[in-house]
Amino acid sequence: MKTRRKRHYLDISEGTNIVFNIFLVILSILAVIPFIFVVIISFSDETSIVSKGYSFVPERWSTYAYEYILENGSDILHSYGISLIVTVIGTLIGLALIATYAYVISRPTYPYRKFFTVLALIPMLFSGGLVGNYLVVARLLDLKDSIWALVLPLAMSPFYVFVLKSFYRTSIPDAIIESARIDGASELRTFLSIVLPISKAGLATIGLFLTLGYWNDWYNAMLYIDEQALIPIQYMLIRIENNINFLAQLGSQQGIASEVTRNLPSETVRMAIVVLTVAPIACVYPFFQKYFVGGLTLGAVKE
Amino acid sequence: MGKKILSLILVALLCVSLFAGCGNTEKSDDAQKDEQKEVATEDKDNSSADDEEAVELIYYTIGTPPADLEMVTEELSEMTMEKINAKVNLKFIDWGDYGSKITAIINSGEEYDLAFAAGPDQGDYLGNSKKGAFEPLDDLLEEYGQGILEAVNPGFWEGVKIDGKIYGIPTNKEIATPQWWMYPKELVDKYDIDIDSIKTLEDLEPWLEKLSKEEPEWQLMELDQESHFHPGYEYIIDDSVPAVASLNDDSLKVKNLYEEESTIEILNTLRKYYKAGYINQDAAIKPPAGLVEGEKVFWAQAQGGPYSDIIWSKNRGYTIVASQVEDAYVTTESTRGSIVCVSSNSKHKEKAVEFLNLVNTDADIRNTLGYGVEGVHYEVVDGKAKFLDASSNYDVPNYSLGNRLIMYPTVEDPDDLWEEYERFNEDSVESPMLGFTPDLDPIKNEIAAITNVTKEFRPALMTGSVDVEENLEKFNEKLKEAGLDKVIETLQSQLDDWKANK
Amino acid sequence: MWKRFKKNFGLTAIAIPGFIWFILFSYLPLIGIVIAFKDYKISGGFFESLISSEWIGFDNFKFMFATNDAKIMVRNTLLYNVFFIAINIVVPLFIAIMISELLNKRGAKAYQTMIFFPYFLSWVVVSYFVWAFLSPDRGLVNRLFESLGMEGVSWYSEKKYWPFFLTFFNTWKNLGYNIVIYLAAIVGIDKTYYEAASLDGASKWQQIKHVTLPQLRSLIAVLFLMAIGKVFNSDFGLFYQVPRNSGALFPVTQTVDTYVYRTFRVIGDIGMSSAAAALQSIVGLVFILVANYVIRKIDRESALF
Repeated sequence: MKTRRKRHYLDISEGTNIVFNIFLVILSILAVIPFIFVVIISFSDETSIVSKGYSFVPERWSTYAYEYILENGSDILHSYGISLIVTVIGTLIGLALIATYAYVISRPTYPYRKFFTVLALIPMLFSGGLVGNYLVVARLLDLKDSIWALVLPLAMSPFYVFVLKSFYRTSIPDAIIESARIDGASELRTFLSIVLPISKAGLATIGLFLTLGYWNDWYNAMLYIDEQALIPIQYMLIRIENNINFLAQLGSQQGIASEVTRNLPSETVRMAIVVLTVAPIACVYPFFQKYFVGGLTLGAVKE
Repeated sequence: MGKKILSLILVALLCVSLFAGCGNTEKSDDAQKDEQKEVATEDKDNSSADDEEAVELIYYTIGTPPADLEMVTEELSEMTMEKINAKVNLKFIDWGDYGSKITAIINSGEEYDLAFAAGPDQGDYLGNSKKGAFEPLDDLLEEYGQGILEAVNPGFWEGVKIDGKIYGIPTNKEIATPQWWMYPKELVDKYDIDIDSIKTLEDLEPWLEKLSKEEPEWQLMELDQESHFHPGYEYIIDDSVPAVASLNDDSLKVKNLYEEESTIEILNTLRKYYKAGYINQDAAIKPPAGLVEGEKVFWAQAQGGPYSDIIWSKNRGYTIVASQVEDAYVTTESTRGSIVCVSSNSKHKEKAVEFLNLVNTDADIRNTLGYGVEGVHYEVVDGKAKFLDASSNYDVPNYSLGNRLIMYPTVEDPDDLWEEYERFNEDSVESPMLGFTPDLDPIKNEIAAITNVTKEFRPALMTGSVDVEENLEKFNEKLKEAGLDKVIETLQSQLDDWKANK
Repeated sequence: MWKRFKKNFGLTAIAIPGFIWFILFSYLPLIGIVIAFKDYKISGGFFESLISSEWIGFDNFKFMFATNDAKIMVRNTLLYNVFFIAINIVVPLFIAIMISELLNKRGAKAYQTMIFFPYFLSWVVVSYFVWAFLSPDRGLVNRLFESLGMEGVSWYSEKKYWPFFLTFFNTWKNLGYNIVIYLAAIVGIDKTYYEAASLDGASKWQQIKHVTLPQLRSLIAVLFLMAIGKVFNSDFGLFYQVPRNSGALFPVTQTVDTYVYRTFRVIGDIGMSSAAAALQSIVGLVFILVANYVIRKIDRESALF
């Protein structure tokens, strides 16, 4: 309560707050409707979708889609496991690589800053493409059918490096680093004990992006994984989408089309898989969020 | 406290990632060495031919990977070990991913022995053959593949030749894929419709008129983005490039499909039907999705062969009757729908061909490949395959894996299934262009542009969704701009040369 | 020089793991770009093939400039990106500030989470959703129009609406992601600046103008530069899946990526698709160099290099 009055002059007015809230409520609704829609379809009866199309209020409800997945579901549980492992390991490795690299190029006094900056910038523009990447990951590094093929290629991205670098620039006063140096602390020590703790918001953001990136990745699985036991959950979903796309290219070649559709789950099942891929990651979200929304209270700095 | 732990973790990870990096490079070096060693020993083995070591053939094919793949490849390898002293490592790549993944594998020079190939997004038989990715097989077939040469219909061999050479083994199945029009038996019986008398869109009109009044819950005609009509003409490159030649005469004159009288007539008819409400309103933006179960559709078209109506009925969930609306022509397209190729990088080309020889001639091996392990996935009842419960764990496409005609028919198939196939293939007529493969290199850029123009205009025109006169004129204008004339000219001169040397 | 290296060795060592990653996973694969300039034929392994293939200069690039349609696709790609970049930098910035200023922190969290949701859905799923609204006969919008006695619109063949639709979907899908970046930066701003400002009697709006925005300057510059490097790329799903590949909309939906995709379906030429990617990179490089130069003139600190 004590801080309340003190903070008051730093806050927006009650009226503005209400206006902001109304605006954000509308925005939030616009954002979640499609997801709710997906959830509703996943609980709809398949035949009513065929005859009537999508609807927010289906004629008949059904849990068939989820039952179907549970029945054929040992794969799905397994894929969850793979996704989880890849996401956790990848996020940690990625954070370590990005946090260090970005720190180095954020130091204004570091003489090789420009070299390392340009080194990170070029990959943002140029990529080896399908063949180049496959050549290195599958052939040179021999990571085919290995979990590292899902982890390593996504560990860093120039974009994250530069975003984190600019976070460092805003949140770390050069004076602190200088004084640590004068105190005789090693660079690594300064980085670990001073830089990391005050960059939590930035690290949480990059951590969140990495987590999302790993969770949503399917491309590496598509290219490098033949072993069915190593397939992440997202690829299960995308594979279905790719097959539908393939089907759309076939035109009137019904012979092949019926071969493709034979293994294609129904629309409600597809939507149920969407729900099942999004739900876990949505649950993890608040864990990261507390670092960049929770810390917003201005009074917090006064403790 | 938490900070310390966090920093410890970070440091640990740094080390791990560093070592992991080094470890990997070392590992790959070793692997490469091993590979080289292997190569060396193998070369030796080949030279001392008689006492050869068993090889493992890596075989990429299209389709959703089945759960029991390992079990089946083991069974299969046992059989092939006995016969040709080789194992097979069969790898399925899912439909929608096959194109990208096989492109990466082929172009990065990865070693494999066999791969499925068809159109550009399914292994690109034409492009990859020309690029040198697939081995020309004529000599190898002569030596190791006599059985295949005999088993596969000669029309296929004519069709898969590129510049006179065979780059892959076509699947022996229906050799032509003419258009069929399909109708629900229920309505055909109820109104006593003589479907065999309906050969053109105009023939449909009285029925459409009648049914639109009496059967309002049926969608009368179902068309989609990829629907198109070209009776009597064959596309020389792809349906996205409207350079066609007539199938009915030997003139081999290349024309623009959209300047032909018959096409304009078709477009006008479609427009009339669309306006009358016979065609689904969303046709121009409807992606083809196969035959959706339970959808009530009076008329739909499909390419097919003998007894295709059985499959269509299964897809629809109600009985379908179908009639073939054009003659069955053996075309380059119809013969290149499913080919198995040998990699030019393969170390075991002879074995690969021997293996293909088995697949195409040995019924046991072919049945195992297509249906799974006997007694587990299927059983044989009166010479027909009856699927067991576990068959859903090995559900693979059959058109892509080799000679269909030596397989057991399934219990749902009619007794004379393969006789009917033989008869159908026998009766099919060779297209005057069969065996001609255009050289696309000089017209690649034009094809790119034309493809995009076709995708822009054709769906709307071929579903009657837009006014014909105005849009057709625009379409043709843009086709010309994109270089259709050059394409036609080039194809014409290539065709003339080919004909002269035939 | 050696002395300088030794003196900075501590920092350099910290960057080494990242450096190794870039070499392995970004630089080694770049060999693949060579394919764009070759008539790539296969003879033996990759390097053998690459060496023995013939150089053909920029021949593989020509297909992207073959017709008038090329102009349309270049125009579309660039124009959409200009709008997207501007919107994706400005709109999330305002909303992030709005969220950071909310008095009810629990609300802030809830809104922020919900706004993130579209990012989780793939474009294919979004396209189903859009279809439910805009389908010509069964779409919710047209049914609504009918019940109001108005005539339905065939949305997928009326190109005039789509630039607006596509911009809207793009903003909507990426909003949450961009907001997170800004929020994290806002949290990182040293709070003493605000206190000093408020002691000087600055109003909330003045604080935002004189503290928040200037502090975010370098981040905005980074986001801008990153986006401008991708100015010749487009989000394939947005331009292909969402408009359902509708031909009538090509004049406003054809971009470099959709053009290449459609071409590749007929001629599966790896050289041509490599060339397209290389061209996108080169255009991005030029834009980024120019943009960085301009930024450096305005504000040295914010420039990337």
